[in-house]
Amino acid sequence: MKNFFQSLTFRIWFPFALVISLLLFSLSILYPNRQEILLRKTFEFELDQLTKATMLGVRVALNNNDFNGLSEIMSLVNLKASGLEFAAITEITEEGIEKVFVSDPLQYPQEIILNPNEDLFLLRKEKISTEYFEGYVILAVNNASIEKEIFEINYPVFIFLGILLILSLGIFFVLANQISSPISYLTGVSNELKTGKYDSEIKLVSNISEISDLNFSLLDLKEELKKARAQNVEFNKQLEDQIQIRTEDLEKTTKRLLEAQNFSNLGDFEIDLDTGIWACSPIVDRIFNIPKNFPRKNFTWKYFLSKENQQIMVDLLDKAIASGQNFSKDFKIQPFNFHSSEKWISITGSPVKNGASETRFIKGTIQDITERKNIENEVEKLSLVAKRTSNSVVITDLDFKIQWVNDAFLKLSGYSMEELKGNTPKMFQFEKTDKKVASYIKEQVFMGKDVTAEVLNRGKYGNEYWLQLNIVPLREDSGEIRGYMALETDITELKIKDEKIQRQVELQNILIDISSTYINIDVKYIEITINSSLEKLAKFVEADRAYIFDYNLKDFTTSNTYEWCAQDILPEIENLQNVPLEYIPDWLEQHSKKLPMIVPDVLTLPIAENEELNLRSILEPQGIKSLVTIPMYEDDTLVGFLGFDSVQKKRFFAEEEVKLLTLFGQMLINVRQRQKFQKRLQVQEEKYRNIIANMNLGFLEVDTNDIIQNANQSFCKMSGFNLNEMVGKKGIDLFFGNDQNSKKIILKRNLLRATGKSDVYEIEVTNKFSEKRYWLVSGGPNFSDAGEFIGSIGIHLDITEKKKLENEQQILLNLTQNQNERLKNFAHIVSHNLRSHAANLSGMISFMEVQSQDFVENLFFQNFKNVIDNLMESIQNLSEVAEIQTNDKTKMEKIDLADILKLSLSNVSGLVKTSGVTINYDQQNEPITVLGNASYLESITLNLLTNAIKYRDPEKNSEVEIKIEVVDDLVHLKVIDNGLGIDLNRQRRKIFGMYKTFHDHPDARGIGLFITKNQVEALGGKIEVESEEGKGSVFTVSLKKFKDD
Amino acid sequence: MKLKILILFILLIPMELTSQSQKLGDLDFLINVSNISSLSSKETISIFRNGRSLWPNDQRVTIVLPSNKSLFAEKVALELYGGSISSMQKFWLALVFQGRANPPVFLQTEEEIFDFVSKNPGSIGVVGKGHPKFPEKYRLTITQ
Repeated sequence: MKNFFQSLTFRIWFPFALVISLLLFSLSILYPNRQEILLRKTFEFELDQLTKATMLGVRVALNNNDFNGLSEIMSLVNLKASGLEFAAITEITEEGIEKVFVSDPLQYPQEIILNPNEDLFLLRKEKISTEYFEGYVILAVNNASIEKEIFEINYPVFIFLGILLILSLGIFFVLANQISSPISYLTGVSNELKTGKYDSEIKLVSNISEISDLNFSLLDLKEELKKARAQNVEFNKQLEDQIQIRTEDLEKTTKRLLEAQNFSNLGDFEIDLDTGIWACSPIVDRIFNIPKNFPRKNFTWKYFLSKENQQIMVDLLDKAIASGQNFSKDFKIQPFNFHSSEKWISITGSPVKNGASETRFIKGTIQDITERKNIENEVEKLSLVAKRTSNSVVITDLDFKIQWVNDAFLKLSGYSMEELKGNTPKMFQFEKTDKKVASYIKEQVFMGKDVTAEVLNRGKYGNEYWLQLNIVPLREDSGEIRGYMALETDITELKIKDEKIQRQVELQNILIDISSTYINIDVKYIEITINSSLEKLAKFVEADRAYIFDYNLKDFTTSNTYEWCAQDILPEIENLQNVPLEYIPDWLEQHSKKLPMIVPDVLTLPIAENEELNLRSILEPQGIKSLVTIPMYEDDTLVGFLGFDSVQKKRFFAEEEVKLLTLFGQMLINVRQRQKFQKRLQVQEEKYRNIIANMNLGFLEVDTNDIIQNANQSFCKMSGFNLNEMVGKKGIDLFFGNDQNSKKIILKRNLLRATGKSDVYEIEVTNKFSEKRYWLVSGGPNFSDAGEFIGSIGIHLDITEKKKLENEQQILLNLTQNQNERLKNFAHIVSHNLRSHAANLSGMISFMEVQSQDFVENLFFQNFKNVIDNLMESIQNLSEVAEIQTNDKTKMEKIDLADILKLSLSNVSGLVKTSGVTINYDQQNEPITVLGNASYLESITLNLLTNAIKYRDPEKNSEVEIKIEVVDDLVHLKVIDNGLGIDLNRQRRKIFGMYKTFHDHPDARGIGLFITKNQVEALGGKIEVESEEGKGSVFTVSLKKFKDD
Repeated sequence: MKLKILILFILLIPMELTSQSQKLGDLDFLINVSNISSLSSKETISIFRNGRSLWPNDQRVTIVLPSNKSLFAEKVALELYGGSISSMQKFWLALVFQGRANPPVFLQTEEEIFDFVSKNPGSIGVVGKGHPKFPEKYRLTITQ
């Protein structure tokens, strides 16, 4: 239906709209004219009537005195309402002059009334003739008013017509557009088709059947044109292709010819034997470097040849002329100028005869074969290399039949050339050869690819060897494969090494695996894990039995502690307990040297004599063929060994394997140590747990807020509270009442614990029964397993009684100190007073000797003198000791040790001379400053030097060496002698004691080293001795280095 | 000269008015308007010359005049309009033609005028002096 209306649009609505538009247009022009005429006539008629009525009204009024009628009429003649321009009555005077009697409007110009312009006005004039009045009634209407009136009447009609016209024009336009747009579009498309644009799309632009038909026709036309064009294009293309192919073929042929000539460096020549004129192709020119414009006559080609070559050419030509046969020769042409180099050429020639069978021309070719010759030389060299190389070379035909092998191959395989020729390389393969690799090689070779692979082959005499093959196809110049060449490298040793490395890596991996298992293992699973590890390793080393033995060196026995056996292998653990070590002395000896015991073949061990047990007689019954045992050491103590037996076959254990198994053994030791430690730890834990529970010390655990978590029985007893009364409460609230000082101490301690510090302190507490007690508390921070601070732990000791004792002790201490002080004074007084008395005695004896020679000769007197001297010396020594010990604060200052040594050496110089001792001392130029006291240091050095001289060995050339070493903050003074020495094993503890002598030397007093030690210690240093009887002694004094700060 | 003529014209105007008011004495006026029974001569002439269209009580003024065939028409024309009967007619013709006045009622006889006035409130009429049937009820006294 819609299509029907759309089709009607064009056929009916369009003419209809056109007609209506035209009609309306005509109407809008014609109707106003007609209307104006009609209206004007109506106006004229009405004006006529009005004028007459007015005239009658005036007449009636004047004649009959009835002005009502006139009034009525004049009300009709209302100027504004009726559109009159004016109404007037004129009067004709007696003189016959017409004047305006009255007018409406009143002041209307009289001249217009009397002489109106008829173009401007529509006029009507009626005569009045009465008894008293002669004149006219004049009514006038302005033409503009009439037209305005007409327009006012007409304009709605104009608007209506205008709207209709616009509508009809709109419809007309729309319809026209519906027709014209598709037609324009189709015209455009048609123009495009005309220009050959067949690919542009043609839309369906209208449903109007005529246009639609046109549309479809254009579409069909386009398709037809497209087809036609495609056919044309195809045809043209085929034509062009054929031309192109032909042209290319032609070009290729030409090019190939030229290329072939160029490539093969082949040119042709011709020589006229009569005239000597010759010609040649550019390639020949190039070979001989002949200039282009060179005159080619009179056999001038000779200029480009050496004399020798000229002779060859002449001979060839002469021979050809004489024999009439073709010639061919390869020879080397010599350079004839600086620009040419040595070349090889191949020349061919044919004599050309005339009708009389006379040779007139020689035509032929010349080819530069230098490159070929070079290649031939190269090939020759290469074949020499192939023959002589240490790598094997095999050349086969396309069927892989061996054609040639080099000497190296013959040597490796053991076959002769005759045996190999005609066979394929498959003859070297055997059951161990990897079939996959073999088929891979075959596959790749068939595909013409280079192949690199590793294969295991077997030679003529059963020798197995690994080869690295590099197979390349041998190709003709055309690329066609004519055979294969294999370059083979013997990699047997490399393979063995690789296998070893691989095996070690695998073993390492197993060990890593095992070690990682041991790291995190629970101790209770260690037994099982050790067995499992033994199994793993045994399987890997292909052992049939793995075991661990413990040595008992006290009983000199060994016992099997762990054992793993492969299937069908009998366990021996029961039979191998407390085996006497005397049966295996070699074994033990090896293990003692931390070396493994490797037995590659049990049968090679010595046979036991007289049915005694030895290693072989122990191993053989167990069916063991090979074994390795590795010692296990715990802190340098041989504790056992780890072993692997090979029962079913002989087995050689490589060095690296042994090393890794040793590592495993060490790992086992570690694990067993860990097991021991763990057990010990458990025991200790239990022990300490019991101690804490049962000890007399009070144990208290608080959290970070001082809230009690736990306490032991002793603490309950100490505090008087039971556990339930304390747990959950703050210690600070329970034990200190109102003692704020004690509470502060506890709070400070809690803060200290949070920083991770422990300490011991005493504190006064109040127990449950309000009794004041003193506790000694050793407190420390408590950490969780994760290392997090979770509170404090305190060990408490009730020291109330001890406190009381301490108070008493303090009183006693004060008393003792007083007494001590008095004793010091006493010692001082005694030493001082005794020294003065002894000095007096000594002086008196000396005086007596001077006085009388009898005293000198008196033995009793001399003994008395000696006693006095000894007393004097003893008092002197005692005085020094007392002084050192009482003088707590020895004055310390910066001392140059080198100066001190210099002084001391000067002091002993006399003694040195008389004793014949040699002093070796590299005197230091730079000062060696120490913190000390000059008099003490002089005493120390002097004492050590005199001792070294005094106790020299009379049997030796005595030497004393002095060394000063500075290490960090210490200065070490060493006095080294080769004297009598001291047996330190016996005398070590006494050496620095008072009155201790170690030799029968008459000057030995046993006080020197005692004083020296006291002096060294008073300076904050230390003295050490190393000595061996008969060899000598080294005394080392370590002093503090002086620091400026 | 012109000045003299102007002075004379100015002097003559009151004289003319005096003569007209004096002439009104020959005429009797009657009126049918409540509360109006006397008017000055000036007012009366003014009313007859279309000087008023409504009475104070808003009644329309209807002027009743003698027609041209009436015997006292000339007097009326002379005294009220200062001219002949034709001039009186022309006076009213001009006014009616222009629509400026309601047309007066022209009646032939005094009786008709008496009758008309008595029956039409708002009407004012004029007759010759001394008519015996003059309705005193409707008499309009002319004052000076």
